[in-house]
Amino acid sequence: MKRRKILTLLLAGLITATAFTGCSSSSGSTSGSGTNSTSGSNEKVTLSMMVTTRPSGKKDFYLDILPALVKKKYPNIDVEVEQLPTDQFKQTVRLKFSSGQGPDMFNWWPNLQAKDLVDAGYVKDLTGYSQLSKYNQDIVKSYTFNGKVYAIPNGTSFLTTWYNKDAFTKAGITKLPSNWNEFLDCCEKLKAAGYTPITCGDKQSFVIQFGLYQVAASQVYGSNMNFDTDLTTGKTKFTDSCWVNTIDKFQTLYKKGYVISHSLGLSQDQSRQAFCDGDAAMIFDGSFGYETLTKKGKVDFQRGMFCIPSNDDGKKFVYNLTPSTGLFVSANSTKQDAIKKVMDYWLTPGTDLNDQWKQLNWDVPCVEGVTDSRALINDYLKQYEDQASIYNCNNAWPEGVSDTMCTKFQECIAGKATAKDVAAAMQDKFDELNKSK
Amino acid sequence: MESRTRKVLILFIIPALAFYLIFWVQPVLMSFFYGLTDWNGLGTCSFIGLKNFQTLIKQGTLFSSLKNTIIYAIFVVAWGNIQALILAMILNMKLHARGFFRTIVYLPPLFSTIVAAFLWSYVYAPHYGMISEVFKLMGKTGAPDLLGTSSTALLAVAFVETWRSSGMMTIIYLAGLQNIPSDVLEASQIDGCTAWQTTRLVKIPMISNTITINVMLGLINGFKSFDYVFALTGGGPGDSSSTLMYSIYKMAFVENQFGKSEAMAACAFVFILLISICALSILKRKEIEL
Repeated sequence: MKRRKILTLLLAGLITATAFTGCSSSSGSTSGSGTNSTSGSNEKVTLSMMVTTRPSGKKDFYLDILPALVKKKYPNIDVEVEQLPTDQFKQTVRLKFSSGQGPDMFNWWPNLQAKDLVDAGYVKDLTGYSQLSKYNQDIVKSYTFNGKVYAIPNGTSFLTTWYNKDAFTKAGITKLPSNWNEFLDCCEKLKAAGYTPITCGDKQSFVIQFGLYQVAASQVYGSNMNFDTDLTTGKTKFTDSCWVNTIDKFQTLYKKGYVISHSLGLSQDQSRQAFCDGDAAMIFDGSFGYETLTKKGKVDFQRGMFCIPSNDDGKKFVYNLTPSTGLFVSANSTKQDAIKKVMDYWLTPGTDLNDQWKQLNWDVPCVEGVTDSRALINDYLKQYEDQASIYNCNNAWPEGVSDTMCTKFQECIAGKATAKDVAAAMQDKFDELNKSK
Repeated sequence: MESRTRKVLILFIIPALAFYLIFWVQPVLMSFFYGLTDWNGLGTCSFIGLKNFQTLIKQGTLFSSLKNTIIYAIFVVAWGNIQALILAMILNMKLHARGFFRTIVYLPPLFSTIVAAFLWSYVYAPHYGMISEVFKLMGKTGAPDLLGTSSTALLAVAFVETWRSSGMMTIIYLAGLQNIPSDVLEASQIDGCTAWQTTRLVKIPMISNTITINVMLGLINGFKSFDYVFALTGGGPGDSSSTLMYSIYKMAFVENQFGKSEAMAACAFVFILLISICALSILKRKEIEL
C-alpha cells in the first residue's frame, strides 16, 4: 500500500515536472534554430535566414540556390530559409527577437524601420565588413545608425508608373509628361480615346502608397529635401501645404474619373491583371512588380515606365528611388564564424554564389561593377540619371503613419474625407508614435 | 471520500492546473498589465497608467470597432441561424437524394478561411466578379461594389462568415430536429396543427437547447471576427469594416503599439465576457420557459 502511494506521488511529480519543462526558458542568449556554436571549423552548424516572399522565376535565390551552394562549399553548414509575406514576416522577426529566437541572418528595411532593432541591440554592427566599401555609400547611409553600419544593402528599388505604350500612341500621346498639367492632359487624352487611364487596387490600402509617394517626391521634396528631418524636430508638419497639395493632387485623379471605377473593391492582383489585360493604360506600382507586370495578358503590348511628374511647370522634378532591404545579422547569434563564411561566399565578387545572386536579385544593384540585366529598368534609370531622387517617404516615419495615410485616403476616394483630413490624421499618428519612441 | 485519497487526487490535478494557469491565466493577466504600459513589442516599457485607455476613447477607435463588431455579430447570429434553420428543416423532409444535399450543405465548412475569402473576393470583384457577371447577364449595368463601399463592406464580409458556418449550424439544427419524438409530431397533426403551427409551437420549442448552442456559437464567431476582415477588406474602406479583433491586430502588428493594443484587448475581453454571460442567462431562461 505504502509503495503504491509512493509510486503515485512520483508519477504526479513526473507529470508536473514534464509540464514545467515545456515552459522553462534557457538562460543566456539563444538565437536562431539549429545546433551548436562554431568554434570548431567542421562542427555541424545550422543557420536560420528569414526573407520576405516575392515573385520569382523558375528558381528562387533564397530557397533554391543559397542553401544548396553553401552546403556544397561548406558541407558542415546548413542554411534554413524561412520565407513569409511582408506583414507576417515583420511580425515574426520582431517576435522571434523578443523571445530570444531571432534569425541568424535576415532581410530588413532601412532608416527608421530598422531603428527599433538597432536600439534593442538585436542586430550586429557590420561597419568593418570587407565588402562594404564597394557599395554605393549613399545607400549604405540608410542602414547607418550613430555612425555604425548595420546591414549590407541588397540594392535599390523604385516606385513608378507602368504604362501601355500602344495605348499612349493610339491616344495621340507622343511625349511623356514632364509636369502635373501634362500628366492630367495625358489622362484626359487616354480617357477620350476610350481607355481607362489608371488602375489601382485600392482595396489593399498599402497600394495607395505607390502613387502617393510618386506625387510626394516632387511636391514635398522638390522644395525641401529635408522635410522628414524637419518633421521630427517639428519644423515641418504633414498639415503643411506641400503634403495637403500632394494628397489633393492625387485625389484629383479619382475625382476626374481617371482611376478605374470601384478601385476600392479591387485587390492589387486584380488591378495588375487589369493592366496586363490592357483594360487600363497605367498602373502605379514599382520595380518590384517587374515579374508580374511584364507577363502577357489578354492582349500584348509594349510596356514603359515613368515617375508621376507632380511638379508644376518650371518647378523641380524629383523621382522615387529608394534603398531596398538590407542583409542584417543577429548580434546575439552564437554562429558568427559560419555567418561570416556564408556572407563572404555570397558577397565576394567572382564566387559561384555571388554570380547567382547577381542574376537572381530582384533589386537594382548598388554595388560597383554590377549592372541590372533588365533593359526596361536600365532605360528608366537612365532617363532620370540627372534628376534628384528621394526614398520611400515611409522610410523616415514611424511604422503606422503610412497605414493611417492609406486608410484615411480610402475615405477620400469614397468621398468621406478631404486632403486636409488625411494630412491631419497623419500628423496626429506621427505625434502619437513619435512620442512613444 | 477519504481525505487522504482526496489529497492524492488533487496531486493529479496539479499538472493540468499548472498548465492552465501558466498558459491561460498568466498571459491574460500579463495582457492587462501591458495595457498599462507603452510597450512597442521590443525591449523595455514604461508604466503609463490609464493613458492607453484614454487615447482609445479619445480617438474613437474603441467605439467604432465595438460598433462594427456588434453589427457583425448581430448579422452573423441572426442571418446565420435563420438560414441554417431553414436549410435544416428542408433537409429534414423526405427528399430524394437527401444525403447528397446534406453533403452539399456541409461543403463550405470544409474550405479553409483563406480559401473561402479568396473565392468570395472574386464573387464580389467589381467589373468581372460573379455578381457583376450576373448583372451583365440580366442586361443591367452598375453592379454594386459590396466590398469597396463603406456602407456595405462590413455586412458583405459577415455574409461570407455565415456562408461558411451555415453547414455546421445546419447539422446541429438537423440533429436537434431529428431528436424530436415522432409521437409528439403525430399528436400535433391529430390536433389539426398546420405545418407552420407545428414548426412554431412544437418544433422550435423542442429544439430550444439547439438554438442556444447555435446562437452562442454565432456570437463567439461574430465577436472574434478577424480572418474574413483581414482577408477581404483589411478593415476598409477607411475603418468601415474594422472590428475589435482586427483593430487589436493592426495596433500591435502594424503600428507596433503593443501596449495600446493590449488595452484594447482588455476592453474587448470585458465586453465579450459581459455579453456572453447576459446572452447565456437569457437563452437558458427562455429554454426553461419554452
